[in-house]
Amino acid sequence: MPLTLHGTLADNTDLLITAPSFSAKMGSNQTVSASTFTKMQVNSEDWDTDSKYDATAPNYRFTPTVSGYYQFNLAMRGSSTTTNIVALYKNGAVYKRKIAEGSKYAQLTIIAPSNTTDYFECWGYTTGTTLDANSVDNNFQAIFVRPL
Amino acid sequence: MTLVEKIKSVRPNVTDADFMDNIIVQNNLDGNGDYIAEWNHPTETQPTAEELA
Repeated sequence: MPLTLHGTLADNTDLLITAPSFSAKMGSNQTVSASTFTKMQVNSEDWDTDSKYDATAPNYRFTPTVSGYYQFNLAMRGSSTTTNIVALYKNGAVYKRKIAEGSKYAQLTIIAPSNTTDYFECWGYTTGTTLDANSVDNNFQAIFVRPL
Repeated sequence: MTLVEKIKSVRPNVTDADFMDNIIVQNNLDGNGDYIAEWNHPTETQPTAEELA
């Protein structure tokens, strides 16, 4: 089957170059109020290809500025074994979330559309009082998938 | 005492499960602490600031 290209090769190359991605995690344990949705202190970057993730307090947010669909990966470990929730917030309101009942570990993978001004944050909820910062158990990541 | 604990104290019929859907308490780390972002409880009214003081 012949390959059909949309646009020029130069266009596609430009698109790949401007496709933001980041990965970050919590640098230390975070004390929270039980049963309270709290923005996670995701302040330690693994990578941030286009400097679109703001790891400074109290922002901790990804503003891609390039419109498109993005895949987000979120993971957290709460201190309670009863209920833990990890949530993707878009522009300050919950967009999608994952409830883990009977487990410390909540994970969410979701694709979300973004325009040039939308921003995204990682929020956590636990019936305990700590969000654990073990680097292999918590992360907040995003990668550009395709244009809108 | 946290805001969630205060709410449960003044509204004893509120359950822990309510705080996942019917009542959303948030903290956005802006220094203002926990606050009620949404109150959609089917039977209990939202406490006043005086009740939660």
